[in-house]
Amino acid sequence: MADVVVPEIATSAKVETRHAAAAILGETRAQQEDVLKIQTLRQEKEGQGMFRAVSGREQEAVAEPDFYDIDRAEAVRIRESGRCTKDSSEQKTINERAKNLKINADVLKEIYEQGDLSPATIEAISHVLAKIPGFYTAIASHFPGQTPESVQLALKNGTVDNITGLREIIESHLKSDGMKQRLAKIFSQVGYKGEEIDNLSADIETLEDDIKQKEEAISKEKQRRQQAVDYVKKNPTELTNTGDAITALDQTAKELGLNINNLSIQYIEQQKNSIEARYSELIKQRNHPNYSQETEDSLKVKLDNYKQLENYYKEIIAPIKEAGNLSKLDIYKLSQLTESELIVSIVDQKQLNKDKNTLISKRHDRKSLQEKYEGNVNSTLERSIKGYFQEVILTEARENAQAEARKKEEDKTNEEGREKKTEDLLDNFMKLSFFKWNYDTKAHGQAVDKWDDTWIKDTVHAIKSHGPEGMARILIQRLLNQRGSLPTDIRDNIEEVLKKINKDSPGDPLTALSGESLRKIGTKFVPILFGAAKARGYSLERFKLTGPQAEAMMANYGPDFWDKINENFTKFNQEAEKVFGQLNIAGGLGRKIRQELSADNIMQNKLAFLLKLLGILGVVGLSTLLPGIGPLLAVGGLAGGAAAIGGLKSKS
Amino acid sequence: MDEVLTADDKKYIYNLLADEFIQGLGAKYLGKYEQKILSKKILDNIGKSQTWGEVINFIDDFSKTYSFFQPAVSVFKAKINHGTEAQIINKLETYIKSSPAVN
Repeated sequence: MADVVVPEIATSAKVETRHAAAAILGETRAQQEDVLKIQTLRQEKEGQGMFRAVSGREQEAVAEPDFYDIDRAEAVRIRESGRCTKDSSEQKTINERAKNLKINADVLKEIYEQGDLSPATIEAISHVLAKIPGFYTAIASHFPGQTPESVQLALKNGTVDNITGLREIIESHLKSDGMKQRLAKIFSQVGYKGEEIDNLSADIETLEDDIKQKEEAISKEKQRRQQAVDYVKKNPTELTNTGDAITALDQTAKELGLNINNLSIQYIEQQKNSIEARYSELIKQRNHPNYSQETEDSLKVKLDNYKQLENYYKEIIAPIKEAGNLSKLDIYKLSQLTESELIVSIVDQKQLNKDKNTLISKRHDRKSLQEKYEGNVNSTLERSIKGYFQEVILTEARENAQAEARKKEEDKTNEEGREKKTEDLLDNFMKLSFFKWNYDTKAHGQAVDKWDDTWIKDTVHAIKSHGPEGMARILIQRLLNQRGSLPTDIRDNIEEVLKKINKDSPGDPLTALSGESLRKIGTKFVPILFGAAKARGYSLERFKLTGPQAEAMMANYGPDFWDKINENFTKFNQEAEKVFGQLNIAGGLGRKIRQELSADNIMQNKLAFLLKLLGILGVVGLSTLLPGIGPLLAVGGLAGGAAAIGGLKSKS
Repeated sequence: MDEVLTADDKKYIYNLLADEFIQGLGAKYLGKYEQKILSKKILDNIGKSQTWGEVINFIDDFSKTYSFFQPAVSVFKAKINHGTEAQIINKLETYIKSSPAVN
């Protein structure tokens, strides 16, 4: 409002918990736009639709994101992709922490990207908020029936849903622009090594799988060997023959430079036939100069060995093979191996040990990164939220307190201004509204027809059921209703004042006035109404009141109420006397008055009209409403007295 | 007399509460989340209310925190007592008619 004096900012405004609560809740001052938006919703969707839209249910009905499900899915995904399988308590702890860390990182990203918050996040953040007394005290002040302790407990235990609306507040708090910036800062400060951690986890997974497979193979073979040893112990005779045969076979094979494990009957026969052929050829050449007895002997031994080998094979091994009973051979062979011989036969022990060392090293690296990040996130988050509360929430709370103090001052100033203007309005125009106005065809304008005695009488009686506030409403409403019937100039002046009282809705000044102001106005103007009624001949002696009504009037208007009425009555008559000489004010206005008060005359001589009118109605102070003619009004009564206007006859 | 609420009654209740809510917004600072919570509470409670009595109990309790709903309580109570009220109005009218007129 242009004419409103805005006081200096109330820097001394006291910051109370409710101001902090308002800041936490994201309340802002006088959100006219919001109100307009909601008013539109009310018109378009009616009451229930408006509430549905404001509550967010309308959107939920369309597509409600169920972050509980999303979180569950996320939890399942993490659980199922658990990379560490080693069953040790330490590894379990690491896995758990890796899982939590993963959730935290995802969640923080969600917050940063304005996503939905999972219950786990709400719980984590709540723990931090539970450490900020200003926060939970402010929240408690907002929820009827809650104490700071109960809110703190809910935050601490993660049972925020026990307090309706608390979850929304936490979410809004975390998703506010200020908090969003802080979370962005957290990410940059803690230097999230997610990719590095993920790579390490992948390497660890590969190594773990590889080692696991090898160890499983070793374990399996060890088990088989143990079974073999046990079998040999239990069945010594059965395997002794096989064992002796194998030993002999092995010995013979070794003498021939062969490995028993690689022997096949085809190979043995091929070798035997070849040596036999060479031996036969050599015997034929005994007389040859190059013949060597030594070679013949050597071939003979070899041939015998192969023959023996062939016999062993055919007699001992082939039947075992044919009988499908090779397992006994395997069992025997296994039982003879030492543990290290067994492992060497399965894996490269050196490589396995190296892999194990690499795995330990990578796990250590990952753990360090996780701990560092986790610690950074936790401490930074806590510090950040606390800092946010201190810097943002409390600052906003201070601003809220200051704004409230300022608004109170503004309201007071505005209210005083509105009250004064309304008083001026009634001072100057109320009595005009006591008339009935009609269009005068000869004068071509609005002219006074007669006093509206019925309305005056009804309004006087209204005091029995209305206090000063209600009476003020009736008087103001009368003027509002009548202004359309008044001459244009008067109406325009009234409209101008109405705009100053209620800029947004000039036609409804009543909504701009407080009950206190209306009460003051009623107290001032009701005696004037009664004075006018008495002047119009209403016998106040016949105005009957019950005991309680009389007491109420005494309380509302003071013990000098009747004196005030008489003062107004006398003033009314004196002013009329001054203007009209011996004319009787109670007899109604004659044609001449109507002509004088007609629109034509107003247009021809506005000043003269006003002077007459002021004289008739005892108006003072119009200069405040009609700038420029103030000095002339001082002589209004005298000038009006010179006007010879119609004959009025007193009834009293 | 605690009548069972009809669909029209509920519409009337929602509309009146909506008007009071808007009035309240103009006079009191209500944050967006507070508006949301208020709206949810109203929808939940009016939705499940079967009688005027239940509505009045809820709004009466509610208006202790949000005083701008207080006029609605009076209106709803008047709804319950509309029979009695009609009698009172008749008596008042008779009384007014019997008051002295302008001479």
